[in-house]
Amino acid sequence: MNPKYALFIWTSYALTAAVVIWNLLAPRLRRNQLQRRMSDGEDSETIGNDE
Amino acid sequence: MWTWFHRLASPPTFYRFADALAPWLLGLALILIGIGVYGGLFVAPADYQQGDAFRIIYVHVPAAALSLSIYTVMAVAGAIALIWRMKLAEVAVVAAAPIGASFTALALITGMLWGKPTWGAYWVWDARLTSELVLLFLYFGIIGLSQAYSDARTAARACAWLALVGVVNVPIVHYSVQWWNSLHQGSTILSVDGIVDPKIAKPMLWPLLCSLAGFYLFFGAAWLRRMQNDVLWREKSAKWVRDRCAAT
Repeated sequence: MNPKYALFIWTSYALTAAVVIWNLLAPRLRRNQLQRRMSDGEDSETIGNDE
Repeated sequence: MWTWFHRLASPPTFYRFADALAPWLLGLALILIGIGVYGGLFVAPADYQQGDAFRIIYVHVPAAALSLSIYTVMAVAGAIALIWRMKLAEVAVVAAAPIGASFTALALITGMLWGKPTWGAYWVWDARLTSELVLLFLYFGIIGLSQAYSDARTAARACAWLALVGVVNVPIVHYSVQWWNSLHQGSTILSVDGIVDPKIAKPMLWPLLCSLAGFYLFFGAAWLRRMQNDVLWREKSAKWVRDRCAAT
């Protein structure tokens, strides 16, 4: 690979990896948080108040 | 088939369905992305004009394609949510927005990193780049709206309206390179001509197709997981959720 372009290419791939990892981890962390809150008996949250 | 769709709209059925499907989608997605990235970085030959800089295409194009597709899917789900008041469609709109925003931001940043060695500038106020930036702001608007109301259903309906209104920007992004003079190159494969007679050589094309398929499957897996979380919280007082929490 031409070293002239290496920084641009590897930065692009590293950012893509970061986005993929964030999209993998964020729902898992959110689920753990929700399960903890539900087991603690919390009822109020912006996303959740159903009719 | 309609009965199956109807049953799928029930939260516990959807939750089980997503639990079964998401790992398969994710596994297949990671394999395809891996093959696409390897092929793009190490197998595809360098472009005769852009040299190795063109290799950014294997992450930039899937991110840009997803940014448009996710918004379109949100608009369709938004229409279903507003017309039939289906809860799962409301959840679908809200859950897709952060994923769409992340891939839109990625498309913009990888585009800037490709633009610098190719055009000599990270950013130009070109129709394609500007309309893609507007798309990112639309995603931010939907994420903001989803958190602006205390009632989840009101928030979701507001998001659905914005998704529907904002979808007008999707064809503007896609056709901007044809409608206006643009530094940005035209569609490589996402056009009728491109599908019949690809404008890209086959050794460069197959990693791109693998990467595209992989990122779409990845979106499917991430979307299902986020929808599961929203369903879980909305249904927190239902027996099936309490049973599930007790079991874990």
